[in-house]
Amino acid sequence: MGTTRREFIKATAASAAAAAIGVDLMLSESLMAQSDGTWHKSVCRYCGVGCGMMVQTRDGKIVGLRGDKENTINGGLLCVKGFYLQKVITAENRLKRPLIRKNGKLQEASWKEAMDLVATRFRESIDQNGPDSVAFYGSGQAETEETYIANKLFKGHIGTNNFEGNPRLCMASAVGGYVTTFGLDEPVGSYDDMDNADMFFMVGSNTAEAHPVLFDRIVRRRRENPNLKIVIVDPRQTPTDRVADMTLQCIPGYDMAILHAMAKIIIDEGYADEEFINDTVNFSDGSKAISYDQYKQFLSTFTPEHAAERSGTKAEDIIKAARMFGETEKVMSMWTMGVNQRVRGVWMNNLIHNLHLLTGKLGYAGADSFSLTGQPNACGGVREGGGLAHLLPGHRLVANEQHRQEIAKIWNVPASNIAPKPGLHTMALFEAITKGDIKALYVMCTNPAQSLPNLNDYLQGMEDTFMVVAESFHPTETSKIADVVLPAAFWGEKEGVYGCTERRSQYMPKLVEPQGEARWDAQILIDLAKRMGYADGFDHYTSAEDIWSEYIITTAGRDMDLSGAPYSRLKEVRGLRWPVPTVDHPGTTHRFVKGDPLFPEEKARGRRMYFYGKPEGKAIIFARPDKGPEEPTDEQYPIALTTGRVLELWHTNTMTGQVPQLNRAVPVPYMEMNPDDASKMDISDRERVRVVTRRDSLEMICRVSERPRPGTIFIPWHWPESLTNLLTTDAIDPGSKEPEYKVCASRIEKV
Amino acid sequence: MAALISSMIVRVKPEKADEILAQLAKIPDVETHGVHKEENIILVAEGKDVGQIENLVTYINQEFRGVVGVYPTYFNWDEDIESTAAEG
Repeated sequence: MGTTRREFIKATAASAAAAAIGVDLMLSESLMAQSDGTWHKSVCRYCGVGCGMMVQTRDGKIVGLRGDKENTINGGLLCVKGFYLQKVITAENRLKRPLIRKNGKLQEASWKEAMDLVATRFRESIDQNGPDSVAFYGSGQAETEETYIANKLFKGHIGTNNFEGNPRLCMASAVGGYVTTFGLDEPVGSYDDMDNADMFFMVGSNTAEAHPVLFDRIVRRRRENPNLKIVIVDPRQTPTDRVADMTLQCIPGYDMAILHAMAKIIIDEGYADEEFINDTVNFSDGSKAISYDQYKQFLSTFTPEHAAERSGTKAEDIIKAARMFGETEKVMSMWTMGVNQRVRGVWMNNLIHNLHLLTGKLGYAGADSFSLTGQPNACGGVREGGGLAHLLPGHRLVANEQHRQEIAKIWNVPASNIAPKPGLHTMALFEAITKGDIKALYVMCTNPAQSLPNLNDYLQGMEDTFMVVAESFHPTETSKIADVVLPAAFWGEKEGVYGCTERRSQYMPKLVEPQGEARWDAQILIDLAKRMGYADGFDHYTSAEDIWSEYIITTAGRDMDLSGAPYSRLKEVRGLRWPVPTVDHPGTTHRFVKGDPLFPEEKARGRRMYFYGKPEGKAIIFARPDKGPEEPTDEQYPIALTTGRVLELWHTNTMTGQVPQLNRAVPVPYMEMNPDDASKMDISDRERVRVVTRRDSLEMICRVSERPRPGTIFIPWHWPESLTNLLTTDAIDPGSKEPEYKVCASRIEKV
Repeated sequence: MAALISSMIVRVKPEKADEILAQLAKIPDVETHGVHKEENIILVAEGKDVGQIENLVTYINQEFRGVVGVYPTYFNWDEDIESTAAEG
């Protein structure tokens, strides 16, 4: 008697779960032996963790999906966002034909008509107003191949560096921190450190909801190691606190003093690794070199009591956290937007690195200063691929003449094509759009009309400029106001590479045909290049592999060498962590130490670490001034507003919003308010309130909750019908140019 | 007819594992496959749409004391679930 498909699928499901935890359920062999479609190795589309997925196809459709047990990032586990993927591919809101605005309305058009219009308008603008009158705005969700082609078109052929991407809004401060402290971007270690750490120091990161699979690694580590310590610094209690030993619930924007005080305690109480500091560290006040003694003098004001008063935490907790850090051999720090989305985000990154450099807790298993990433290819496509206004592929700079020459040679264009001056960073770019200085904008795979801060200042500019949006879904807040909307192929409908948080590049196959007339973004860009007269630079590409193969040439000999990661190898392995200079190199778990193929043993002369991106191989400990938020609370706006994610929804809800049932979990826009504040203001749970900032106001439900500290409210930013970013400030970090989404001043009114 | 079958690991505090297993087994359209390695409950859920399964995850995460996390491991969107499986 045959088994039903239900029995078979359930057995397969149970078996996948068992495999993920390394047990055998002893299910019927005959049942498990049945063939059921084809399984393909891929990578999750959502956050920056980079979870491996096995995707099942049958008859040209995706019918199943499971966590990839062989992938060491997630070991077979996924998070709930995986539910969405198949539904998202076939969502009703998938855009299937190009749209052109005619008589004020977006109407369907042929690809030829749409692309001719885009090419003509971009060409006209360039001819009449110069190359800097056009711009590109991309995404940490685009494939590396897509960003690479766009980069080549705009910087190498059109000749403008007005080329930005949404990672400017989330990771730019982490880049600034790594580059200023260690000399080179991206983490020293890898996720492997999570399995060896004896302490996690987490700042501004709700890992349980934003990176659930990594949170599971933390939980597992806790189980394996009962002595594990977890210390959190965050204005808001989150589900991550379930596993914490201690949370320093600070006032939003006032945590720099905590980190300085911890550094002071580490030095004063003898936890500093003086030999490591002497061998491997220089000191700076940000403008000039200073001595170790001068740094100690700088720290002298940061007593635990001072830091406690400044941050709204307890001095004894700061002392305890510092001692834990000092006493524990293997400490791993992790952070995300609570650190990066600040006017002093780079400085905050520096201060976390300071603790690791003072103690030498870096560059060995379990010791790392590790920035977590929000998007699946912000590291790979944008940071490594050079997808920002000041960058070129392979961790190069547009302002560096040699770098321009190297890239121009690979692109086969005159070096003079690449402008030497960095283009406009994201907020400056959208300001220029508002002023009318940018006449044509190409947006790929992102939704700035929802994700930019202080949106009121920028929406009209986006409406007025000639804006092209290449997007898989319509309408989004951005596509609604575009002049041309191009249907883009989605995950599973195209092949390419994503590079995740831990320097790991992973291959994703094309599994099904794109919906409707949707096309791969790189194909659209190549078409545009040809229509604009740049066919010579793009004619030779016949596949994604062609593009990747050219891209990895740009990485040869660089710190992020991917020469050993051609498609042929990436298709077989579960990603490779650069530097991986040859096809027989296994990839690198820790940089700047022996085992890193770029480690210069002769120069290091016995030193354990050599930061080869810095003169003398020495990293820098920074004495950064303590600075609060750009918009502190005051009598008129007495409540600090902070924003963030919830587990079930992702970013601007473009993808997760395609599944109406899912919004039941988080159905309506809301803010969280502490019971003390709610009591003082006579606000009840579920009561409708108005949140007012200097920029705008929004009405929403109030959830009375212990999560935010008194004096603070929290609002998720996912809902297009209630744009949280109408409220947020567009003040930026002067170094990274990243906006301070995480703190602004607000007041609450009853309605 | 089911539109989605999913498996997941429910990570629990070991001291709560048996109690949570018993509670999960009472949920309609949910199969449990025991506690493994002290802290893992294997669960297979069937739903008429993704929303139903996703809400189940939220429910388990929020309502069960002792649950540390819920991690899906498998999804199947089979439209032909009642037929006989492949021969052999």
